[in-house]
Amino acid sequence: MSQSNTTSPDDQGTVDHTGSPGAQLRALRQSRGLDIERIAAQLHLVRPVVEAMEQDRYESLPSPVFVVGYLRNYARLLGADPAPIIGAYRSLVPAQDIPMMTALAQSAGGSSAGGNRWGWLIGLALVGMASALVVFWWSGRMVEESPTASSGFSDPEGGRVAEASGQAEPTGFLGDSARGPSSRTERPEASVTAPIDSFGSAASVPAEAIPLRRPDSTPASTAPTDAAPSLATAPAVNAAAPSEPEPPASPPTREVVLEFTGASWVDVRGADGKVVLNGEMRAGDRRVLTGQPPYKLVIGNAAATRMSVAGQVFDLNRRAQGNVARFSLDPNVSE
Amino acid sequence: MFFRSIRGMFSNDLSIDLGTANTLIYARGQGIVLNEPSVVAIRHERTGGTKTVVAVGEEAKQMLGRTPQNVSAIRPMKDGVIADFTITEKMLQYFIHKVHESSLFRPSPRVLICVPCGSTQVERRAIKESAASAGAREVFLIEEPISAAIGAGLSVHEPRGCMVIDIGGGTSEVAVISLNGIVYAESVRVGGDTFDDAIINYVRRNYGTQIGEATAERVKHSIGSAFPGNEVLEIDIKGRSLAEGVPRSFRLNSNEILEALQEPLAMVVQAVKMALEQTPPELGSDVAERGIVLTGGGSLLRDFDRLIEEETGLPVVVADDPLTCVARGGGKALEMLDAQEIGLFATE
Repeated sequence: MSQSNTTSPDDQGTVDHTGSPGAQLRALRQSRGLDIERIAAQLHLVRPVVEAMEQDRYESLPSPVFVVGYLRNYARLLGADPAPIIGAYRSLVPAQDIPMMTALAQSAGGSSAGGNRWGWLIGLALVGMASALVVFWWSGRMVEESPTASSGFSDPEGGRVAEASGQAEPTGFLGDSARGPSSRTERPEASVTAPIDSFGSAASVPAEAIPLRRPDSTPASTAPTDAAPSLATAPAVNAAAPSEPEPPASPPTREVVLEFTGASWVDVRGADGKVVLNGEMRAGDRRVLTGQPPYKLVIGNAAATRMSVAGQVFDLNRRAQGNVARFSLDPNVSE
Repeated sequence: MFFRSIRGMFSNDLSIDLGTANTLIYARGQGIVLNEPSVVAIRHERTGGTKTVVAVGEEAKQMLGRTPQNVSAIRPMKDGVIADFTITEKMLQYFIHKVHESSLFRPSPRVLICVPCGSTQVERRAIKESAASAGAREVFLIEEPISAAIGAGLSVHEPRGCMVIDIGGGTSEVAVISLNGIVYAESVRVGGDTFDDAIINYVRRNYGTQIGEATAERVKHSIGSAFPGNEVLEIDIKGRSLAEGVPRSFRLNSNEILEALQEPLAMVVQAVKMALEQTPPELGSDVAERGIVLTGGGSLLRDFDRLIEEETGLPVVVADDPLTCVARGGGKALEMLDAQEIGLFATE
């Protein structure tokens, strides 16, 4: 291993940093009195390479990583600071990437920036879609909530009738019939054809007994204020003959009327368990049951109550034990 | 998987030089964004026997050799491969999060990891799975010499041989590359850490004094050299006298360190000579014409290039910023991911 440093660090001050790197190195070498052959031997390079460096012919030299290394080694061999010489080289030959790398870097770089931009756009779109879905779901839920609360769709009777009628709409219609009177009124159903045999007399049922859903603007009820909310005053008059096509018909329910000649406590519940009539009735009161048949009735004072089904008197005394009548009644089934 | 893709849109592709001594991360489009020691400090909880990460990186390195009983600062990488899978995963997770600090989502980047060419299939799989567990949605591996050559600015795609020596913390890779592939590669488990150990052993043997890794590293950086120079440098250090058991101060000079490093340096030189022997003649003449390129932190050891130069008789150049060459090369390879330059990438 030979010691290749030929100059002392004190000589560094003589370097002229103004010229090209090749010129600087040549000046340094000449000031040291070294010939180019010796330099080439000590750098383990061939003479033409050293000459190319001194003449700044870098195109004939390998890639910049080697040229920078050669320049650094050459400067160090001459005892000079390599940094300014390498700096001069870099200013002379701008840093350039390997051709393949440049091309690929450009295309990939473009896609990278694009990727970021698309990433944000896709992210925003996803957030927007998620918000829209939430709003859609929420509004749908709000719309569904009110009918569901009073829906009678689970009622087996309604289901049976709807199935018999073979239409989808009547199901809702029948379901509605189990609802409170606040959203309904009576109207004639002359064109209704009862699909069930037991409804044979349905066509003759008074029109006012048939509940229909009406728009919300319809007066809620004509029931007396002291009556239970599930009552409708009978007979409600709405005789307007439907000239327009009838909505899908349902078999009409035969009217059940309770008339009181004395005070009596009454509890009537529909098939869906909803209270149809509840409370103490006074003498002279008259109530028409509008709930979902069959009804479960408890009449506290059977003797003071007169009950009629489709205009025919129903004998309560037969059902009463003592003076209290507890029984179920399906007005559509003839006894 | 779907969410990883979504999160991936908000993550940068990363090239990670998961080194024994330092971990460097190159983010696509940003350059080197992280350069921290591969050190993790772990606290062992007294109750339950659980382990908690106390510090990672620079902060953890300062704890090396200075920790209380329940804390241990460890290097999860050894000889360029994973020595502790769980801790490596935690470290990677920390680093990936650190370079995505401004990100709203948990990062899920595509990651390219540089592995020593001498690493086994099991070691590569461990690195891959560790990165996947740390949050990477896709993991690619590249062999360190290729990455180092690209990072140094070599035209690896040309049908010309070029030799790269990458002196890392745990391993040194010597490779001859041509046409985007490795013609010959040799990995020796000698690196910066071996140099430190050599200094520690030298001091213990000649001065009867024990010094720590951090002190040995400081000595190496300050006065270490691979080739005899004009001037002799000196440094005052303190260690524990093995005979007296008390701290002692003494002075080391660069010639002593050169002597201490002879054995590991000879191993690297031997690997280089072996590579030159094994290189096909055409490629060997290319190497002889242009020279050898040195990369890696170990090449910053004073006059390392001159040692190789004198031993081989070939021109040797040190790449610009040799410490980051591997990560930068990985970054350039990352940019080729979309161009389907899959020939560059390594398999398990």
